[in-house]
Amino acid sequence: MTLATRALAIRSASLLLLLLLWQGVVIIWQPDLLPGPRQVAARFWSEWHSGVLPENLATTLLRVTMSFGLAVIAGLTLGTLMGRFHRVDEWFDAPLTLSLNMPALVVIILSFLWVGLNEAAVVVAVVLNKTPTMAVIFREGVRAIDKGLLEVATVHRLSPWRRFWSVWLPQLYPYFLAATRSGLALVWKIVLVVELLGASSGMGFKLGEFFQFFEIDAILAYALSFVVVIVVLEAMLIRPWEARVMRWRAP
Amino acid sequence: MKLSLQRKAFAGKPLLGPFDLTLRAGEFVALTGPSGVGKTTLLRILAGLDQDWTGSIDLGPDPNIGFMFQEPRLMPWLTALENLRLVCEDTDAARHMLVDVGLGDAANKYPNQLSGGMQRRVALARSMLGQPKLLLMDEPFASLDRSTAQQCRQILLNCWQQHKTTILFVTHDMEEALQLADRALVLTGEPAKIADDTAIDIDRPRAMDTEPAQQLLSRLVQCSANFSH
Repeated sequence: MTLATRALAIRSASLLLLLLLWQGVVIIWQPDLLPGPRQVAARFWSEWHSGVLPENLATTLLRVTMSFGLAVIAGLTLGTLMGRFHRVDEWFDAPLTLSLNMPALVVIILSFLWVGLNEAAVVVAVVLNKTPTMAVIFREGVRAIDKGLLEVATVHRLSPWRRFWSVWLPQLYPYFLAATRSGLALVWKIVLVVELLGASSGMGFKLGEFFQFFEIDAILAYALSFVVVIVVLEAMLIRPWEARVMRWRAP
Repeated sequence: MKLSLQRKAFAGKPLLGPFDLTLRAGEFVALTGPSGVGKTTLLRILAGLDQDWTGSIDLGPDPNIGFMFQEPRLMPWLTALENLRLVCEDTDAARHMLVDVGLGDAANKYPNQLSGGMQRRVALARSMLGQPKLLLMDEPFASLDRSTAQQCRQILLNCWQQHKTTILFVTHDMEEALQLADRALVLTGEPAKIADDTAIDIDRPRAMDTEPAQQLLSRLVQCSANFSH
């Protein structure tokens, strides 16, 4: 058995054990507030077929993608300026620390108050929440840029585009990966809270609705389906991307 | 190439100049001197990497400069071939150059899959690619084992003879200077000036164990020893 299949087997077995434990608890104690796996699966199935789950899932995923993309662009810009220019760093460091420590909830509430209860407010809230973390990551990345390699580009008089694309940016790939990893996991959690508080669609909104009506099987069905989507995204997009841009590190 | 250097200061302290330096086309010049004297700085001025100095420089029309740094400075995320293609679009020329430095089989390897000597040879290939008119080299073969260094010197000489490149070669190894160059300069003092300029008139290929070679060598060694006191 290779290492990869062994790891996969252990992963599957541990998930299966968890599932059995859950079913066991339900059979033995028959708790009112914990539906069994079969009930959750049935609810998932009906929500999926009615089209409600896919629709809200798509809405939320779109919000996650948009706000994540904007946060990366804003964070990269700010982080680059701060990493590159000492003066900018001096002026923005204190506000950055401040915003890093601002509770996400406060930013969300203020976004809704200032922008209104609309789609834009959802994106603004998430971007404001995530940009400072991204900026910190990219600032470190830009500080770690190897000037010696840039000099190679200067001596050989590479075009600005080539210098940026082939010499500067690849040095930031590890930081992009870190930002994506930590960002994706956090962004969707923030999006759910934003939706719960002030949107009329999306996973967070539906979860809030189910909470009002005590529909625990639906809450679990929605939550699990979303987790599965994120895990699949990680496996299908991020890991292959990482393998591609980091293949030079392989011995 | 003509350089007229008035003054180069580092943190307010004068480091170089005033002196003039002229390299004839196709000339191979070795630049020696005690460490920290400003040899690397002089190369960086010539390459345009250091702009903070006074004086004038004439590189001729369409200056095409190659630079080999002390470290290989390869892009770790590019293969050997891609590293060459970064500075020269011509894939065939890049491939040939890799074969010339004896790395034809390593074209698709990443730098961290290559030994230190192989990385140097890729850097050597990169600096010679595109047939630069002026090739600046900063102790390129230091810290290589003897046979690899010897191999690299031969590759460099071949390339120089083929393309008639002008080369300025920084080294602290007098024997290396004697083996390669047409002329050896000694840079020394505070601020540093060119204190000695010795023509090396020995036919190539050069044998180091002949009488005239040994005489020149002892003269060079003595001369740099005098100045470093």
